[in-house]
Amino acid sequence: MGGGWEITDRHRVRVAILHPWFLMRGGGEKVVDVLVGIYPEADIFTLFVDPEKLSSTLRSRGVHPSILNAFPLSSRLHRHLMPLYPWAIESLDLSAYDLVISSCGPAMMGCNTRQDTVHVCYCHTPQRSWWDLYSEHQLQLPPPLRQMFVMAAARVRTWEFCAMQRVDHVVSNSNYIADRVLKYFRRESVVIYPPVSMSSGPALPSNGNYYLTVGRLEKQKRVDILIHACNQLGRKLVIAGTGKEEKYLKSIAGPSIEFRGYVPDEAIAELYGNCKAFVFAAVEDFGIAPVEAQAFGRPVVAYGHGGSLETVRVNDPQGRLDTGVFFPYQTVDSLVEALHRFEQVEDRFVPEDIQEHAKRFDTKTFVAAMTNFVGHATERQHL
Amino acid sequence: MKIAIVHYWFLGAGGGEKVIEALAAMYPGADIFCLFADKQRLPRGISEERVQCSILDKIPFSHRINRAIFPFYSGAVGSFDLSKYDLIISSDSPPIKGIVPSIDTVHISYCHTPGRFLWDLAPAFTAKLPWFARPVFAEMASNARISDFVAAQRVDYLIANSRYVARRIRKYYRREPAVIYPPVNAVEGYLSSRQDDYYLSVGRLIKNKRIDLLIRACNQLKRRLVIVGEGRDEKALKAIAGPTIEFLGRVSSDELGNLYSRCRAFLFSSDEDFGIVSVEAQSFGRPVIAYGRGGSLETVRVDDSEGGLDTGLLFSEQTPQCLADAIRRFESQEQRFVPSVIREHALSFDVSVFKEKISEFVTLAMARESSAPVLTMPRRPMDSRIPAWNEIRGEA
Repeated sequence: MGGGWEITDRHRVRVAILHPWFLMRGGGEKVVDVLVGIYPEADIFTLFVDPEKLSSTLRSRGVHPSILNAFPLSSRLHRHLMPLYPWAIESLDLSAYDLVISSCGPAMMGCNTRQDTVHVCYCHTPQRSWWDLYSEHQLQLPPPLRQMFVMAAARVRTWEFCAMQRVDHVVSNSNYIADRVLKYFRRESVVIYPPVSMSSGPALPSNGNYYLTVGRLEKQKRVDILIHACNQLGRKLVIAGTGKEEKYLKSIAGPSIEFRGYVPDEAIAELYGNCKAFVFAAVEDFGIAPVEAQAFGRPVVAYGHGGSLETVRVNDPQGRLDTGVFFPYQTVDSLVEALHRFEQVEDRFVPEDIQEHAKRFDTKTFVAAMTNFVGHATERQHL
Repeated sequence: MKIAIVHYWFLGAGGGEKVIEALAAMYPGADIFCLFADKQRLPRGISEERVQCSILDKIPFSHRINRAIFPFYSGAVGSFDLSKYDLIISSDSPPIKGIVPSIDTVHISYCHTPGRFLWDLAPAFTAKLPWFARPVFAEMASNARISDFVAAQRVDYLIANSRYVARRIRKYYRREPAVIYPPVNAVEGYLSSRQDDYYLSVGRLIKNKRIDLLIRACNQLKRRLVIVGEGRDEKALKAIAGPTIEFLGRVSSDELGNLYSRCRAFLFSSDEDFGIVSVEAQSFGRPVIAYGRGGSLETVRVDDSEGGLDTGLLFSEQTPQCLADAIRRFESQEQRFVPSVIREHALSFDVSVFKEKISEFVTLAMARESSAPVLTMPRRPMDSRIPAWNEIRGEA
């Protein structure tokens, strides 16, 4: 584990953890849970909170919401309050804290810290709606709202850029995000992959004959590609998850496609453990589901873009075994071709080896890397 | 070479004005710009004609309400005509360094500190405002932080007045400054053969100087303490003072010299960016008992294990008890402080040293500008310190 005062007199170090909002349970919230595990004394600050959506650990210790949380309907309208985020974050008084870890997302990097406070920003992604997806996003808005958004986004971008410069250390959740941080904030960062909890037993050869995908059924997850490809090949596809697109996806699904809806943890382990392969067509910043599938020793057939390029090992320069197959274009044809390719080499994948690879993304690895990094950072701050 | 010196204001004698005094003496041909100037209170050696004020100076009562019209400063700074200068030295309190020099002009900014009410002390400052002013300040400060940061990026060379301030510059501006200590008239100090039994404090009587600590500690130990200076808190401080405490108010510089040279030790409990008075005391060969934070860590030498070269003692916590302990510790080893050694140390902060370093810095900066038209930015310090990815993950 790390060095510096953070080990020797941790009791004296006051820690604050900042997270944009607790309005759903996603990868970002999971990171906060794990961070709280590392720093049990930490105070947690956020813009908005929906108490129902807090994990049990967080609910019992409480989080400090910003003044914006008091707005009526704030949990539904939180995106529209975006022009006020800088104000809400800058008015936080963090002068009592020696270590501030901001998990962002939008705006959280802009908190004001004392001169000798160490501020580490764990970046999930620059807020996509006003950085990389800005053009698409603003075009979807109705004209009067669009004008307002364009103006507010310009101000918030300037503010976020300047704010990011005063963060002491930036940590990105993947190389993919590190590139984005460099592009938009001109900051170099270190990569620490987010924690994925691995609750699987030993990896066993699969005895199912189906492909699996897990995730919210939303447009950008591109589950439609998976369905079309399996329709075409007549392969069995099991889909776990619910979402806005469910109806549409069911309407295009052929007889070999099976929708399981929401699946509880034990049942999902069974599904993961017995699939032929996990299929994944989304562009994710990181992508937890493919890692989970690999933790069960299952190979992944994924669109070769974004986080998947880092979580799935293909053509390793050191010659280690592949843990999946990529398809180069986000199209049905490309996936069909990849499934053919996969089925030819299916028995060459070694479950134990895939599971070993997935350990790189284990919660334990995250905790060790983060503790170590913060240790380095605090030691240097006091030089 | 045409030179301009840009300063925030001349409304009284402070550390910033001493810097300008030294710079003006170094560059007698330089023009001096400022926001406001009280022409009666210009630093020594600066004539009225040399100083050009901004339009804000014409506003009635502007000298008195100077802080309240902060939002108009950046406009006023923008109105200076700086186009014909080869070198601009700005003495910064925001937004002075926000001047926009022409492309061939070298801009060196001597930074006393990033505006603390905008940065590290913003929460404390906000808390003091009435509730209705807070959102206004929040909005104004948010914008001012952006302009302050951006302005710092276009300064060619930043100089910090101490390593303490350099760290603040690194944190808030993410730039690497040089460090040149501000000028102190150390050479005017002298050693006195006569020693009296009193401790001394010099400085404005305001809250953050923490003179209350000195009074409480001396009350407790029944030591004589002489306090020089005036200020808002005078009444409150007199109220807590015991019989051994003496307030002298404002004194002449001759008398101050006498007081410095005969004291047992100089007491200093504030967390200063530099702390000129503590160096002044040392220039009279007197040891300093100071709070071990900020500029005192740089101005008081305590690193010698034998103690023969120490110029004072530091105490670790800003409490009367901790100071009282330090005074007792001092008294038990008073003999080891050698006045000539202490004075020698103070001379390293003398005006002559400041001038020498600035002139060396300016020469380098001008040479670099002319020989290397494309200035390569140094790597940002924090980034290069980040350990490599495999180092963190414990991989070979």
